Amino acid sequence: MTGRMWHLARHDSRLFLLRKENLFFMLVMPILFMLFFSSVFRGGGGPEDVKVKLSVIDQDRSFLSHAFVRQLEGEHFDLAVFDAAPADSVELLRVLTIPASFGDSILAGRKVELDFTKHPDSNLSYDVAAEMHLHRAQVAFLGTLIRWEQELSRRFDHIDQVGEADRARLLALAAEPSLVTVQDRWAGEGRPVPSGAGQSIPGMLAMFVVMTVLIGGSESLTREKHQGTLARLLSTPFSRGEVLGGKVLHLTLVGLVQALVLMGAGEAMGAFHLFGIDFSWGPHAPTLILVLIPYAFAVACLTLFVGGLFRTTQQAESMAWLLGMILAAIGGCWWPLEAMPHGARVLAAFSPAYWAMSAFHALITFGQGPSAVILPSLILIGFGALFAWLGGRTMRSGGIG
Amino acid sequence: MTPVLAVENLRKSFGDLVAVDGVDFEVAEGEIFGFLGPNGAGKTTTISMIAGLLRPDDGEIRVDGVSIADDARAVKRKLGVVPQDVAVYAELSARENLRFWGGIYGLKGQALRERIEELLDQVGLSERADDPVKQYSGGMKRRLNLAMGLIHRPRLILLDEPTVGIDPQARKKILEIVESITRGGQTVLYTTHYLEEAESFCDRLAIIDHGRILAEGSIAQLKAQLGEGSLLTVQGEFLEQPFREILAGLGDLREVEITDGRAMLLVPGGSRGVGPALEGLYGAGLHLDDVLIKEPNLEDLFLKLTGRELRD
Ligand SMILES: Nc1ncnc2c1ncn2[C@@H]1O[C@H](COP(=O)(O)OP(=O)(O)OP(=O)(O)O)[C@@H](O)[C@H]1O
Ligand SMILES: [Mg+2]
Repeated sequence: MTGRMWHLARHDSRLFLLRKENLFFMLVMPILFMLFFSSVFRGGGGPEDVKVKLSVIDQDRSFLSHAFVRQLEGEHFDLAVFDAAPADSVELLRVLTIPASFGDSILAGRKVELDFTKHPDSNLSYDVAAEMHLHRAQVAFLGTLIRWEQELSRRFDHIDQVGEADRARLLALAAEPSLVTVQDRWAGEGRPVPSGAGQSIPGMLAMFVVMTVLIGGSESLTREKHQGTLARLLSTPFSRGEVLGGKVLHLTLVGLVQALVLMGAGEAMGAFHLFGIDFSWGPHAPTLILVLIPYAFAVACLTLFVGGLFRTTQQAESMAWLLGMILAAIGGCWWPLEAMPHGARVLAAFSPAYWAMSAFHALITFGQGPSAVILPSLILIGFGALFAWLGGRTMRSGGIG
Repeated sequence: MTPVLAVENLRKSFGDLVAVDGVDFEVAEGEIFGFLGPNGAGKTTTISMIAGLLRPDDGEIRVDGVSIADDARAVKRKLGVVPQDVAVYAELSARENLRFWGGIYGLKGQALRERIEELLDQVGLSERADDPVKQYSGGMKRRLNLAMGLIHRPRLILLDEPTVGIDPQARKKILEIVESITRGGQTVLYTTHYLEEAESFCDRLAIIDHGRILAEGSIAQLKAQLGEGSLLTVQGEFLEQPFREILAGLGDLREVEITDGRAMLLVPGGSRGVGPALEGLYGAGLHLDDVLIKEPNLEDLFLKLTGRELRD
């Protein structure tokens, strides 16, 4: 069985390499794209470069809570402030609730607790960044309070006692650069938030695995259908499963080679600081193979399905382009998932690219160990099985006429 | 003795269209069995079912006694399928195509190389063996198409109209190759709508139309179905119905086909009977413009069975 599939896969790979456009797609185009996007977004890529979504529910609505919100504005938050929990607050990614007693408690010197809730969908790395920003805002706010208190002519025990001028002064202080800031640094590998080249290099890799396999594969599958060789193969002692399995094996190899080429290219760009690109796959690079194989397999099976659905090469190729772009976009290859609306993040789970990107980020950015790729890999294998089944159903051919 | 190929009550429909409608036949070892029928008769559909590409709605196919439903792999190993439409890899050369195909059947090394050279020689492609197939002429592609089906010396060769749609010179070349195959004592199922081909090298044949076998047997047996005698074709200014009435009064003349202005009749007793027959027709007052006398062939049988010409 495997011997027969290898025979077919070798043959298909040979045909693939004979077509110049495939080589262009595999070697030239993705590397150019990678260079371009990584140099445009080459920024150091620290957490401070990324705006993190945060919803604030200000139940207090005092000048003190307003001052704290102003302090938050000084951080890299993409803020939405509500007076009360909005109807769809369950949908919000991260919610900071300022309790009604906030202002009074501060003035009275009582302990006050802010509630910070994260939605299960929220991205771990962004949560980490959000906590860090919050932490900085808190420190800054304390500094502001101290400065303000020193300027006050008297002590207040109750919020209503504070005059208009003092209130305005606090708000003004909160808007000033704070005296104390916390400079965060992450020890160890990578950065907590994928951005810059840390986003675009894995993103281009995940995208071009989809594009190369999907476009090259659906072209060759439809060609093989209308040139009659697919039917002819099915009339040999090779079973249908072996014939289609050989195709999947070949396409998986194409995807893997594409991924390895781009891994090498990305590492080289980082190593030579080409156009100022700062990047490395880090010490877990070999572990990436564990997710690249299931990823290439899932994309190969998807290609079988697309190749089976369409009759003409033109139809299949245009569909491959479109589908490839959509899967890359919703899968988070082009921009961090955080930048996408909630609905799109739900869709993302349907793109194999999303799972590949999750695993890449887990390994490269968060420095998690190989166990982090187990779930994405299993999901990708599941995708592969589903598409293989669908592909087997669509890849029916009539007679040999 | 078990026939190499036995087909029983084979049926296949595409939606409402019944493409193959209860076909039965057997092909014995070493026999060249012809499948003769016009476009859309169901030849390719039948071959596709034998090749395991289409699942029959009903019926059974056995090769050397083994049913394809029971052991498709064993059956397919014995088949050499040559599809009607050329199915080869255009980017590869003839030699590469043959090497790949031979590999599928488990041939390798020296044995494969020798077999490839032998076949290239047999189909006359040795000189162009390393050029990509996309640079070949239509006839050369067909010859390669044929060679690919022969690479593993199959027990049963399925040839689906190997000469259709090519120029006379290329066709002659293909026919020579087919003849060289048939001389080798191979068992072949040969579909065609060219009567001369069927007549020239098929041991037995079946005439198929609308998915049914209308007649089956050796050339002699089939000709005998028309009856002994000469074929008399007359043309003139007459209508079908009055002509039939005249014919009824003329004793042994048998109708093959009658239309307005043209009639084909079988005259018993050979050419000696033609004179009296013509006398009878003239005597009845018919005006004839054209008269043709010839020995009946399968074309005429086909016309008689289906009321249609073999080629449209
Ligand atoms: N896959 C299919 N779907 C629908 N109809 C089909 C299919 N294949 C064949 N047919 C129909 O079945 C009938 C028999 O077709 P088939 O190809 O077997 O004829 P054929 O004898 O090989 O004709 P030709 O000499 O033109 O090759 C035709 O009417 C054809 O249109
Ligand atoms: Mg046909």
